[in-house]
Amino acid sequence: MIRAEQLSKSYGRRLVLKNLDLQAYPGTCTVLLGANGAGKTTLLRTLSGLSKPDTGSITVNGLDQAVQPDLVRQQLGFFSHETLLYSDLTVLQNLLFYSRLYQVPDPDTRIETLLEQAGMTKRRDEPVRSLSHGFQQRLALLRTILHDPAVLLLDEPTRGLDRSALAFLEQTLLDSANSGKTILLTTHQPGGLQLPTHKILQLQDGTLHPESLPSSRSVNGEEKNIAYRSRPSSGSGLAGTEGKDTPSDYKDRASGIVVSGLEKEEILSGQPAGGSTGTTGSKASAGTDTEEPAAEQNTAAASASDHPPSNIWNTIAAIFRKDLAVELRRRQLLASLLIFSVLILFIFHFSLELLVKLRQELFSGILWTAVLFSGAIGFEYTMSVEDRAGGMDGLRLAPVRRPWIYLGKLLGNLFFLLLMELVLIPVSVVLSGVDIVHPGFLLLLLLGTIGYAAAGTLFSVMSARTRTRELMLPLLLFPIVLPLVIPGVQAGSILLAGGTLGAVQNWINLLIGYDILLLATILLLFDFVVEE
Amino acid sequence: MQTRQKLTSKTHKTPSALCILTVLTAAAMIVLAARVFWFTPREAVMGDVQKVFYFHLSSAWVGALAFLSAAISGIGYLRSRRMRWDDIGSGSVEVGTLFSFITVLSGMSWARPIWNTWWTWDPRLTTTAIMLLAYVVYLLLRRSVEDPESRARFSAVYAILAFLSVPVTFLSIRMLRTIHPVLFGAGSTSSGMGLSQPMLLTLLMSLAVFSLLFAVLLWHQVRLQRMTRLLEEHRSLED
Repeated sequence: MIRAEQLSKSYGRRLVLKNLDLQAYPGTCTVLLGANGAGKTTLLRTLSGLSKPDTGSITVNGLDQAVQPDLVRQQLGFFSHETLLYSDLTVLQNLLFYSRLYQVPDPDTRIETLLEQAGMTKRRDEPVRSLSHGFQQRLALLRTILHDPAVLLLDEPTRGLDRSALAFLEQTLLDSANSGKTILLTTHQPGGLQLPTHKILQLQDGTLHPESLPSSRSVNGEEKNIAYRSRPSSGSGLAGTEGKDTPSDYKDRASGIVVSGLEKEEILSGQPAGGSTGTTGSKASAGTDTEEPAAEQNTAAASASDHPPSNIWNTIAAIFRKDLAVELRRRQLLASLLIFSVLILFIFHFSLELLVKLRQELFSGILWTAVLFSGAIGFEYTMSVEDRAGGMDGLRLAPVRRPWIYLGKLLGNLFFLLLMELVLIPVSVVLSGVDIVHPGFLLLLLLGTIGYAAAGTLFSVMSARTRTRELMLPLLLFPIVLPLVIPGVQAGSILLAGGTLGAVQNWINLLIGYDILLLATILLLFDFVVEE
Repeated sequence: MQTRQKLTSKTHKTPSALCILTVLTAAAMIVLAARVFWFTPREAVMGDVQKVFYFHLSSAWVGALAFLSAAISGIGYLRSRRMRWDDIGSGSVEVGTLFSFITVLSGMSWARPIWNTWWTWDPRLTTTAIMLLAYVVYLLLRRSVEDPESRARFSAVYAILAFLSVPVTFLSIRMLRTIHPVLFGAGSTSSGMGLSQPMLLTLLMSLAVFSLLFAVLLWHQVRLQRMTRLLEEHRSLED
């Protein structure tokens, strides 16, 4: 189950959620209604952990989100406005990436099963960008349920869906409810959605109000809630969704939501029907909540053991492989970096018509200039890939520590920068007429590149959230990395002029020290940059 | 309505302690200037131009102090999420940037007659310029983030990272070959750049008065930041 208590969230002085209480139980589907801007998305993003509440607590199966965020994220599946899919990767690559992040056991079988259910087996090797909107939404739903989460949070999942995609969504929700998942979904156009079990809540003025159901009534002054228990699944589960309404079908007049193929059962407020279903919602019903925390903890523990938390190396490797796969499909980043950096060399060596001696003296400085400016473009590019996939939301939802995400992104950026340098150095040697590059020079370049990639990765995330991202990335980046560049250039020049490694030991120490300091500080701060 | 009340009552009226401190600081600055120009001996080699040193060093000290204050405020904000810390942080950077700029200008005015150039790519000069640029970027960063909470968060992170440039600036003349005078620590002359007792006293007085000036300016700046923030919030509520 998921429970929110006294939840408040504001943007500036605008209070979006006001001391909101909410409980949703296993095997039930709770629908949140509300006008545009009522705060539905904010509520779901806060429940999912993407957005931090100002006050209040969120527990999922007894686990406190503030205390054990990784374990809580493992229990959640969030379907957001964005598909959180990488458009250049294939259907299979996307699902494999997320299965690695979530440590899904036997991912191949799981993915095959899901693709079959979604009717997408034949499209598994197609890039996501070639799929229709409906299929992208289906895939996004598969991503949401891939790790078999206990709680599903769906933000307007019906938006833009055609009839067959809608049927797939309804079927998935029905199956999820039948298997004891907690479902919480938002919509502002509720008409036509066929739900397995539900309670309807209206989000208004930052708080939840129970939506009046025609069959709700007050008995002896005691409020009753209505819950609907699904019939046992009939295999396809789609029965009743396409045909005429069955006698037990019910349409809520206020919301227009249709509940079909269900048995209706009255239960007292907050008491799950038949021991497995039922919902409570809003502050009004919070007082009658009688679930047992110990049982929640057991469920959470069992679930956690099913999916062991991701470890640092798996996370870094998964993100790195994903970045590599994106580049292998697009083949743009490396080529752009090389062309841009070689153009910088051309500007210095040919346009300025430098004398041979001067070229050799400037070798180190020109090379660093090329690395600096090309690198900034590279960081911007890799971040834009994340932006198109929902601005890192997919990564932030994963049950992994945020610094690990940073390290994964850093490894990708570092890899591409080093690849570029591998080509750039021989080109630069030829153009400048330098006889041979001292091994110590390569060490300096490596140390400088590590620090540069470390800062670049962080600032690309930060600048992406500013109004002037194109300007801000180099502005933020260069003053912080100049203490790396200056030793790199100075010591490099000394080495190329015949100096020994001992002669530049101070510079090397400075580079190592600054690298360590920078990386350690960024690892501590990254969480604050990616949070909402 | 509450915001308007805050704007008109709590923040508008200058606290009497701040008024007194401002007057005292102004008087102390006048006394300091008098001491530097009329009651401190003339340096034998450099002559009157050496007197720039008292303001140069004190400005550099205030700059470093302000940036340290910004970094501490950044940590404070990230831990507590109170906008008060952001007010102190941004106020510190504004004051620190001003004093670092004075440091560079006063250094240049000293370098011209002594080194025969306004600027040279000495490690101290270069690292100071980089530090100054980093904090100018901090101010630009604040302008490019609309949401106050994100602005405060990013500013806090950047203030902490930019502070790395402060020790680099301080240590640059101790680790690298430089023509910049080394006053403290290894490499300094035993009498502190050849300062006589009255000169040293003037320097200490200058450091104290500039520290007071920093405190007063920061206080004013924090109040201004708070009023600006409340005004922004008031406008957004009206919208």
